[in-house]
Amino acid sequence: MIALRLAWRELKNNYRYWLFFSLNLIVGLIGFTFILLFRDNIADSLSQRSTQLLSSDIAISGRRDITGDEEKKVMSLMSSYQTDYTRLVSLYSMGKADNEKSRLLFVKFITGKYPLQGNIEIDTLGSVNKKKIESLNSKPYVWISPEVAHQFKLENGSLLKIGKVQFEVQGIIETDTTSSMRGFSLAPKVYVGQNFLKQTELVSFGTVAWRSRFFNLKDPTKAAELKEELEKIITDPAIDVRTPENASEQLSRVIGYLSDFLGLIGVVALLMSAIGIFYLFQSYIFERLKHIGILKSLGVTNGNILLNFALVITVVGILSSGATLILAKLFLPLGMEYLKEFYKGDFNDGLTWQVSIIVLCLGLIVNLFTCLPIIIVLLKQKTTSLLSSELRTKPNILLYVPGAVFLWGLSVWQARSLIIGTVFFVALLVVFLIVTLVLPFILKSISKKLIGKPISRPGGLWLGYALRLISRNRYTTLLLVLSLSIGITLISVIGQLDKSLKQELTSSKEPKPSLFLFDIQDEQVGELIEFAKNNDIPLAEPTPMVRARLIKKNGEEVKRQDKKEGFTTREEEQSRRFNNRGVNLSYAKGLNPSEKLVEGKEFSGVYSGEGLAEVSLEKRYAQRIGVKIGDTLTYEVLGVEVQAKVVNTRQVNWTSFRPNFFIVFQPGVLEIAPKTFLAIVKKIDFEKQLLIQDLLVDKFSNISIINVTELVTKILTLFKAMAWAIGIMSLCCIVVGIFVLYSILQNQLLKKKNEMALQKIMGFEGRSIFGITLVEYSLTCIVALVIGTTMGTIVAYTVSQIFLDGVFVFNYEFVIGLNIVLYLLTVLTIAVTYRIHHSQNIKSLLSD
Amino acid sequence: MIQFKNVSKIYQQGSKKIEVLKDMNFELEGKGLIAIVGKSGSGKSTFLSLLGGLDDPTTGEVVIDNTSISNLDESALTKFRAQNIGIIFQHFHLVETFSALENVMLPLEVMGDKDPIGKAKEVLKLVGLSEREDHFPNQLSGGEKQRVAIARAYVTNPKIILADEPSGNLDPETGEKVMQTLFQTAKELNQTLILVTHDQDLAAKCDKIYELKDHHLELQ
Repeated sequence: MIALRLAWRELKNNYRYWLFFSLNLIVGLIGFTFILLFRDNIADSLSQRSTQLLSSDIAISGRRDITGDEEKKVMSLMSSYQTDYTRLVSLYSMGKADNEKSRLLFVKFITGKYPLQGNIEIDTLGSVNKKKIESLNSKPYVWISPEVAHQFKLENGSLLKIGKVQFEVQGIIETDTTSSMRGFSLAPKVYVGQNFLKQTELVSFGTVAWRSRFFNLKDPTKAAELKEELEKIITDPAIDVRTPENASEQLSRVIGYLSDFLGLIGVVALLMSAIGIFYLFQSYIFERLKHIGILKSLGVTNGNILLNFALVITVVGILSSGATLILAKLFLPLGMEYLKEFYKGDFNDGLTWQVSIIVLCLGLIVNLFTCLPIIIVLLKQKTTSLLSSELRTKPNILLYVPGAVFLWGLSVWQARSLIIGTVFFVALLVVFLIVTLVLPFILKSISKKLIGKPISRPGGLWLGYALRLISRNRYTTLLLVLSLSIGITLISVIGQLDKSLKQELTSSKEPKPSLFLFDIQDEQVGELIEFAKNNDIPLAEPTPMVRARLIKKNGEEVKRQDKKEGFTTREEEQSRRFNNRGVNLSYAKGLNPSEKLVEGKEFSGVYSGEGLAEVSLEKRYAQRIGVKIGDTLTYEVLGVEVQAKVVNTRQVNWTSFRPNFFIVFQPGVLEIAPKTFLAIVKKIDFEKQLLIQDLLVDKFSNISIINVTELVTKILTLFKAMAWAIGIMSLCCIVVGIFVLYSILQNQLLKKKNEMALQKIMGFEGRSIFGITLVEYSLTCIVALVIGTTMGTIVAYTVSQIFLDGVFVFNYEFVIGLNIVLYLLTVLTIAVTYRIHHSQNIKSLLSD
Repeated sequence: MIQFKNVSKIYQQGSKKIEVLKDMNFELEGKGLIAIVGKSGSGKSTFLSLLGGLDDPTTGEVVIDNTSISNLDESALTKFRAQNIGIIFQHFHLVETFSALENVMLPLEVMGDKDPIGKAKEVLKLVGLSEREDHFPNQLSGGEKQRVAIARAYVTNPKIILADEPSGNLDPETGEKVMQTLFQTAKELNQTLILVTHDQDLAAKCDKIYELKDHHLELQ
């Protein structure tokens, strides 16, 4: 009870301090909460819309159709569960309008009732139903997306040639619940009747086409159970059985990268808050040592004192979390408006109970992990030491271990990646160690060197005075440098990666091709080369592609990996995807210019037929499927087993946009297998690209062409939007940092009022007092900037080595800009805080 | 010469006005040790603050050697104070991050003195702290801290030294020693020491004693 009474009195008597303390916590929590809400909203929206995205209760789809035997078993199983059934074939193909314009399209061949769940609306027809799809199948009509209408300059009644068939535009799609993303797809969508699939002649052997079967269930809750049954019938991992739950995986993966990265920024915002409250609390508690000493001397136990502060911290933590939730509720709608730019969806502007609980817990945990270790150390001191004002204690690092473990867990959770979360945590740890281990050593030696020397040395009175303050107020210097350098590290990482990514996408040693051709049939290769020669098209040698699936690793059968329930890291998810999907194989004599040997040896030559064939794997693919040099892999190519030994791993520059493969065999193994070809048209000017594209579409209607220049522009636009979102969050992070800096400076200058009065008495003019303060904090800020920028560059370099194939560009414009902006913000903070105190006369400065 | 011309000082405490000094007129000429005594709350410290230019009178003016310090701007007042006045506080008020030597050197360096180390060391020797010059305030005892403060006040050789209860925070024995140092240094350097105290015994050791009573100073 005494602890409760003391806690109440503490809050009542010092409410101003606790309000400021709370404000520090709130700014960090706000940044973190917004990220949580962003994620939660997407997850919520996805689960609501996943049935519509899947367009049915359950679906079977893959790049090959299920076999007759499998189909029989599937239909027999489903007959007692299903209410509706339909089929869909979708593929990429070139479309050509009457006006000679040609572009890549995503063509969906539909029949029966589609979608089984959700809705498609056409401007001229209204909501799509079975009857309207029948009409689409009876005549060569096409429904086009607004993007297609815009690109081809089409309107209702215009003609659009897809494959060998000339389709007439019957309407423009207004709503399509089966579409999820804006700006992320490779090509815009069109719908045509499945009856015309054969006539288009687009589907031949090896064509990249997806065949799906959709079922609506009498009881949709049985979907998961049925999925298991269907997977027993269809054992090939290359064919997916999907329920609404995993329909949204693809989408959440794309958005996931953005939100995972933002999540880490949220963690930094929270961490900076923690540094701020740590500083404020320790400085407050040291002023109240006598109070604690008196309580102890009056017989209040250590337990009760600890409980008293724990109660205060708990109450403040809960109130801060509550205030954060109210603010988030008020500002959430604004943020969600921005998200709609990325993602078509109805966002829930309300707070979920899960987020509310997380925020409440975080407010509490951050407070307790940050403040309790300070009190525990003090309570171990003797009462007499507490009563004297000379007490000096060192923090007990062990007491902060739970907080560090919590931070690591939070980072892995927010990054959804063990590697990225750990790299992030280690980077913070390195910053922490540099600041707490190396910096004190440097400061100590500076302080020692200054002893016995005039204050005006080195470099005049301002610098000499400031250097003495910095090197002797070590604790404050460390805390300031720590909070600033952590924030700067993160912001630098973002800026550095931004340039490296752009560099990777826009330039490389050799120029990027202009056009990327796929679905070239084996028998078309000769004709295509001849055609290119005659029409002066710079076509590179076509590369073969053989469809296969991995069935054994070192003799052991590869089984389908199901998605784990609950939290999964990105690494686990990637491994599952890579193990499950069908694969494309190729063959080549050796490496192409965009490849580099990482480990092992080059192919020995053409396969002699004796022993195992040789295979080369892309470095990260090998890691993901857990294979190393010397391991054997067995692939099934149209029922034939091909066994090979891994002889090397390669690094591939994927953004070269050359035909590259994860798996490349030595020559002499796959030549006789059925295959298609990929090819590139080397760099030419944009006008000529469009001309060649039209020429190729005219001659080879089944060949699909990706315009690389347009694709790169599209990716860069998307990246720009993502970088903007990250930039906004980083800015929030800087704002939190500046607020913490302001709090610390405010507190510092409050403590310095006495010294300021003394300086005035000693004859310092206002200009000099400000000058000393400015030099003191400028130096601190510069040290933090150097550490933060260096660490940020190191982290960005490491990340680029792991994730960007080693492309790293030092973004000096960003670094210089960031350093100048942050420095000016610091100066502004000092000027504002200083002005408040300097206007007081000496007596009032001394009396505080 | 020190002059207080019709000086009043009123403090505002919430809605209440507290008049500490009222139309005070006071003149002091010549050098020596001067004690200002008076009851607690009589306005001794306020008198000293006004004399040191640490606070402004509500009305009237404070004149030192024909310079009205009440009418000086911030910059001129700072310069005047640095050249003419040394102040010693009850709570020492040392710069915690500076060593004893640096604390004493500080006013000399502000004034642009060419030999701050030599002069500071000399005064520290005078107050008996040569051995402790590289120690920081947290490494010094209360008495030692006050002796550093005395050295700092004397080092620029100001015309007037103002001391506000300099032994108030020390035990009697240390207080006695500190006061001896204070009086001795003032005499050796031929300076005017104005000492605010409530200790009559200590005041008795000064050349003149003034009592602050009913807002006015009276020579005893």
